[in-house]
Amino acid sequence: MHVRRGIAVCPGIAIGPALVLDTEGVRIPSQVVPHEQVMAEGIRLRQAVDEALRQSAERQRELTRKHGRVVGEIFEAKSGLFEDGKLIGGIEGLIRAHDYSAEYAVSRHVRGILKQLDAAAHVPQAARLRGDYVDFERQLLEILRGGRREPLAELDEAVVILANDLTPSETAELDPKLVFALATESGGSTSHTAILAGALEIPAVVGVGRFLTDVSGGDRVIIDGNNGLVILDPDDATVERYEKARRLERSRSGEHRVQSRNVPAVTRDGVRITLLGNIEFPSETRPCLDRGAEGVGLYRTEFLYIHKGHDPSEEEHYQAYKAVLTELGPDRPVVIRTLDLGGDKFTHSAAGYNTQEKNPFLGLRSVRLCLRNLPLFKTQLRAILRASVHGDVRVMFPMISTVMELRQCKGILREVQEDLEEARIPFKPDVPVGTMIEVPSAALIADLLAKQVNFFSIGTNDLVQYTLAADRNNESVADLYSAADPSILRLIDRVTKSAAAAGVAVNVCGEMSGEPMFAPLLLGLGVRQLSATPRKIPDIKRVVRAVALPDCQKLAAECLELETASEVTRYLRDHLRRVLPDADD
Amino acid sequence: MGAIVVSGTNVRRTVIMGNAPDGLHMRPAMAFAKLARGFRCAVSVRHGDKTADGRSPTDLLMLIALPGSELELILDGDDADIAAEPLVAILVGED
Repeated sequence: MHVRRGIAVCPGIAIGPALVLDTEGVRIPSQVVPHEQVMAEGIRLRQAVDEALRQSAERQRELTRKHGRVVGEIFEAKSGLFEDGKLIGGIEGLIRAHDYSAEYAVSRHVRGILKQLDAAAHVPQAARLRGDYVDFERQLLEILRGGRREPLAELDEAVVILANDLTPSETAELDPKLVFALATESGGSTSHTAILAGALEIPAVVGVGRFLTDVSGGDRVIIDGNNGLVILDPDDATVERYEKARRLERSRSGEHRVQSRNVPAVTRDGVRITLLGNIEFPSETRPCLDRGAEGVGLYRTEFLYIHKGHDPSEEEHYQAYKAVLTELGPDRPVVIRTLDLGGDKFTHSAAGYNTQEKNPFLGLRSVRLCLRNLPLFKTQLRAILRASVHGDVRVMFPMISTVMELRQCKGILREVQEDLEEARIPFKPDVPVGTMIEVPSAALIADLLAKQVNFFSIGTNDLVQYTLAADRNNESVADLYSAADPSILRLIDRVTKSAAAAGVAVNVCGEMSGEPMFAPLLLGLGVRQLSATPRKIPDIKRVVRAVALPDCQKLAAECLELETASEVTRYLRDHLRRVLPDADD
Repeated sequence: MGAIVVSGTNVRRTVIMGNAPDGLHMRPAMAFAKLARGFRCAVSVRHGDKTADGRSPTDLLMLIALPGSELELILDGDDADIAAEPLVAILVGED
């Protein structure tokens, strides 16, 4: 049994067979074959090795012809691994000794080699050799599986996904019914994987550090999302302990959810707070309402763009929006955020976006990209306006950093409205328009931006990252990244004051709004609307119902006097413990 | 004259890894194993407490030998004498 510690990003406990995605996304299957099939597995392995050799020789000839002898020889060196009798013999030994399938034995044996190489990570050649053995494994596995790709979309049993990191396109394919939990080697508490796990409400641990070499597909693993633990090859006593904890957790959360849905989000002194859900996929609308959300405060639309080889059509946009609106009914709001793709979220480049920027977070992303690609932008805006006849639609522009950008966006929205009028396509003419406040410049000119819009939504994830100049996914600087930093509190204070002066509503939609300890502070700073991952809504509602506004205002004033993020955090935790002694932030 | 050598020859040579920039990597390991397979004698290479089968490139690579590492080449068999020189040459990087 190995216990590895990472960052807990989504609570809960999961026990299940591992599905390992290495950096190339190869799925490593596992199985034990019936004992009488062991001979046949040995033969399959031999045949695969012969085939790999044949393919290698062919590729080598081709490379030599195209690029000359030198390149061909480099390739020959690698293909020599298939002639390494001891290496192949080692794999055969595993098949014979444990009745492993050929695939599993290959994967198991290569894991062992990679482990030795990782132990010698200080040696320059180790990293390169690692790649060679990963290639060796992949080539054999591909042949053994007969060239079948097994995309995540085609999972047929529920698994725990272990990966270095998940790309947005991989995560978009996941079927939440077939994924018990996620654990990744890299990433921080606000990485894409973490956000996704939150959306799917499955336990997740990120930033575990290198552990994939210690596990093969099919091995039993436990993900403890409450304590940030990944337990590989657990012993029976541990499994039993966790099974028990999991059953308890399930029954508790069910009760909690039902209770929460039926009570309003009102402070002790009677101030009504609007709680909304953040969603990524239309299918999350129902869970959102089930947890007591009054609408959708942030509908991310990036899923329409990623995991596709093409940009989405107007109809694809429209159907996705209509699905959410139909579920919500005519009176519950949905705030649709226009395309917010950035360097971290974008993998394909259908429209020729430059994904090779040196500094993508300060580059052509989000609304900047839309303003440079009007057909793409207008397609989405048309679909949003068309969908507006089905309910309470609001449109929101992300990553606005200047007044000029916001004016341009509104100008384009107007053009699209005129086009629709001309074509006699129905839409609501008074769709509320808002802007995200997630760049420090926008927070500083909130008074000017307020003249242009009906509402603000403070996106704390990016606001924190840009204000503190710390990449939220970089473990080395993750300690700088804190929503409790005095700089962030001051910016939010400034935004809410500007908004109040202009009569503009303020919503907070970053991870900050899903953390119970921040709720009293945000209320005290003047925020009356919070939008969070659906799973967090019951907890936030409990906090809202436990506090009184004057106390929150006092708390906010006191926090604004503090000098460091850790002081603020400590202060907020203490406060939360006082108002809700049994809350586990 | 004409005496048949019945007993095998045992040759041990200490070799300092050549100055290939990043130690014993894929190409020399492959070349070494390929050459070793051409001889009848058993070929092993020792580095510290690890000993590799000279016919297996993976075994050799797992020695994680760096330039300047001290290796011991151990040959056992009737053609050990002839085998020693070319195998040593690969390790010291004179190819």
